[in-house]
This record gives sequence, C-alpha cells and structure tokens, in this order.
Amino acid sequence: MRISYLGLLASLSRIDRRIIYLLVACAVALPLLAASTTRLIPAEESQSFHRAIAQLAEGETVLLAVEYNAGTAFELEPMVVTLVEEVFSRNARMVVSCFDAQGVGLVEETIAELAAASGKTYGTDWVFLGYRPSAPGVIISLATAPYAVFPRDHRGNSLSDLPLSSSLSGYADYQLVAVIASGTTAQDWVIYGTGRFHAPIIVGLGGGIGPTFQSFIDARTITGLIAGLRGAAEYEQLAGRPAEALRALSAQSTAHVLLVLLIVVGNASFFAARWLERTPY
Amino acid sequence: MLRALTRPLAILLGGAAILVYFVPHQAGQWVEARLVDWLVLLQAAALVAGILALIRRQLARVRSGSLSQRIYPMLMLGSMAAMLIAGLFGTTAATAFGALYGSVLQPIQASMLSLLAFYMASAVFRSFRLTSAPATILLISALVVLLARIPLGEQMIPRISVFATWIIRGPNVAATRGLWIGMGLAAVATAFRVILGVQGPSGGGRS
Repeated sequence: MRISYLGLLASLSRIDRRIIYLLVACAVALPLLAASTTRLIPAEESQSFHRAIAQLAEGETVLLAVEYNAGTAFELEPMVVTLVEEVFSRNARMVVSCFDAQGVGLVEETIAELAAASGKTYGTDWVFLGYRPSAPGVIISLATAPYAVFPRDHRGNSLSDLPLSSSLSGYADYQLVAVIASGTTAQDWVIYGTGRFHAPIIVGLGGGIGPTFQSFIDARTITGLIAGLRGAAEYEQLAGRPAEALRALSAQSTAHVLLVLLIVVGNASFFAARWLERTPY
Repeated sequence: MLRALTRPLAILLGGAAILVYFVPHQAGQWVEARLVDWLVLLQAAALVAGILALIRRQLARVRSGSLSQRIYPMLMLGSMAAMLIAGLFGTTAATAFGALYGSVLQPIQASMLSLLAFYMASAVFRSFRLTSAPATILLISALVVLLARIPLGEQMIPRISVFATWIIRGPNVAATRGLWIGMGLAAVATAFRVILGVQGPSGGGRS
C-alpha cells in the first residue's frame, strides 16, 4: 500500500503542465474577484520612503524619474499613482522624466489623469520632459545643463517658457528625487545622481531587483525603498490611499502559496520516484 | 581609416572624461557638457542603427525564407511601418498612434510578462530540487522570503518576517555588496584598458 502511495506521489512529476497553468490562473484570478485587502506591517525602508514624501512642503518640487512599460506596470504604476496623488495633495510640484521609450505614453497618460483629478495645471504644477536615450547622460545633464538635453518638453513647449521649468539649474532645484524603475536606471541614479551630485533619492523598484538595493539603504545612499507589489501596497497603506496594489496583493499571496506548494510537492514527487527506483520491488 | 581613429579617440575622450570628473574647473565642466551631449546623441544614433539592422535582417528573411518563415518577419515589418506612419500624425492618446499604443502594444507587453508566471510555476515544480546542500539553502531561503512577502505567509507563520528580514539584510546584502564592488572594479579595469590603449573600444584586444 505504501508503494502505491509513493507511486502516486512519484507520478505527480509527470503531471501535465497545462494543469499547473490552470492552477496559476485560478490562484491569481479568484482573489482578484473576491477583492479582499489585508493590513500589512510596513518595512522600515517603506516608512522612510513615505516620510520623505510626507515632509514635502507647499511649493517644493520633486523630480520623478520613471522607467516602466506595460509589462512591468502592474507593480510600478501603483507606486507612481500613490506618489503623484500624495505630492499633489501637498501642493508640491513635479517634474517628470521617463527613461523607457515604450512607457512614455503610459506614464504621461497616468500622470495627466491624476493631475486633472487634483485640479493641477500643466506647466505650473507639473511638467513632463519625456524620454531621452542614455540614462547616465540624462542624469548628468539634469544636474549640470538641463536645457541641453531637454530644450523642449514632451508636448513641444520650450522648457524656459513654462513657469515650473523656466529656471532649472540642477538637483538643488528639487527637494527630492523619486526614482520608480523596473530596470538598471535606478543603479545609474545611485552612481551618478547620489554618488556624484548628492541628490536626495528615494527608490521604488520591481520585486526582482529590490533586494539588490538593500545595501544602499543600509549605507544611507538612498533614503527610502519600496520594492515590488508588497512595497507598493505598504506605501498605499502608509499614505492612507488603499488602491490597486493592496487589492492585487491578495492575488500575489495565493500565487506565492501555490509556488511554495508546487516546490514542496515537486520535491516530494522527485524523492518518491528516486526511492522507488532504488527499491527492488 | 575611420576604424583606425577609434582607439586614439577612446584614449582621448576617456581620459578627458576622467579628468573633468576630478577637476571642477569651468573649462572642465564645458568639456563634460559636450561629452554628455555626445553620449546622448550617440545612444540615439545607436538606436537608429539597431532599428536599421533589424529591418535589414527581417527583409533578408522575407526574401530567402519559405512562406511559413516569412510570416513573422512580415508581421514585424508591417507593425513597425504602421506605428511609424501613425506616429507621423501625432503621438497623443487621441491619435491613431495612441490607439495602437494603448490597444495593441500595451496588452502585448503585459501579456508577455504575465506568461512568465505560468512558465515559472511549471519550472519550479520540475526543476527546483533538494539535490545538494547549496540547493537546499537556496530553496529554504526562497521559501522563507516568498512566504514573508505576503500577508498570508505572515498569518500562517507569525515570526517568518524576522527570518526573511535577516536573509535580506544579512546574506543578501553581503552578497550583493560584493557583487556591486566586483562590478565597479571590473568597469574601472575595462575603462582603464580602453583609455591606456591596451584594448580597443569595440572590445577587441591587441594581442
């Protein structure tokens, strides 16, 4: 009888991959339909991220450097949404730059909608610089000669004609630099923005690269860090604006539990098969 | 002739970039501003060169391949032409470019990354095995961090976030700090090889 149970367990390793796909689909879709949210214990670095935004005073300016496209928007866009809402609610102003050529439309549309909802005026309360290639070049230029790389904004206005961007000279113009990135741009910001020009930086990252930036938090190179959907959800909770990330976290919860179960069952099945191979009967 | 100039240019401009970094003189800043302008311009030119190379390669596949092999290159070239032509008439959300971007490109990109979840689940089921001590350590660490990142995990094992924080702040930071330092040293070494003329800027060695 024990052998037959082991045989059953061993046979699981040959399970059709479409069954696994179906399980993943259910694990992600069902919690989203249930639309439940949970209370989180925010990490210290998430609290620092939120504190940096919460300390902004009226009229101060934030440089928001964004790098994501539709593929990575699911965990980074909620960060941008909460951050922009918080900045506008404090009557602070914002200069936005995009570091992903394929994300320009997405970023502009999102921020334009939020600005309209907050009653903010383009040119006075926010400016969208758009995309330029070479992140290191753009980061250095924003510190030394912003108009050389961005003579005009994404909408074709001369930057020197817009009230918000008429007198940009470097990072001293900004109270804070917020980097929300899915790729290597955040690394460029640490090397050039903070390392060379001492810009005060907070960073929002994709879950995959988040842990690699922990050393910059410990070294106080960056002020705050939120990573992945969990980081976005913690930030939403801290800002008192529960939205997309907190809702989506329940789907990520079940997906993670499914992954853990798959690892455990996969290993049990592997060892059962190996034991059966070694047993003569 | 032009190829012969790449090495002296790399030595000259690389040396200038290092000098102006450490010399905060007005003249140095002027040189740096020009170098950064060129950096951005060259990257934009590289983007165009890449697109042209892609078009050439796809055209070659259309010419030489069988009917089934021609479908994807034709689809790619057609899509590229459609976006290019649509972009000529404006790129805001209300234009044809905006409609193609929002209704075609965005869903494709989102779907591409979403598929990773399915492949990853299948891969961890079949490949993540406790076959050695390092694999076991990696697996246990992954399980702890996976569970600690979700509210359900904290509810199932209340103290799990303490272990996950230790893993991220301890071994993870130690490893990534070493990685960053190694990457930095490698970048400096490569830059010096180019600036000192030991290695060509295209990556080809002298010997």
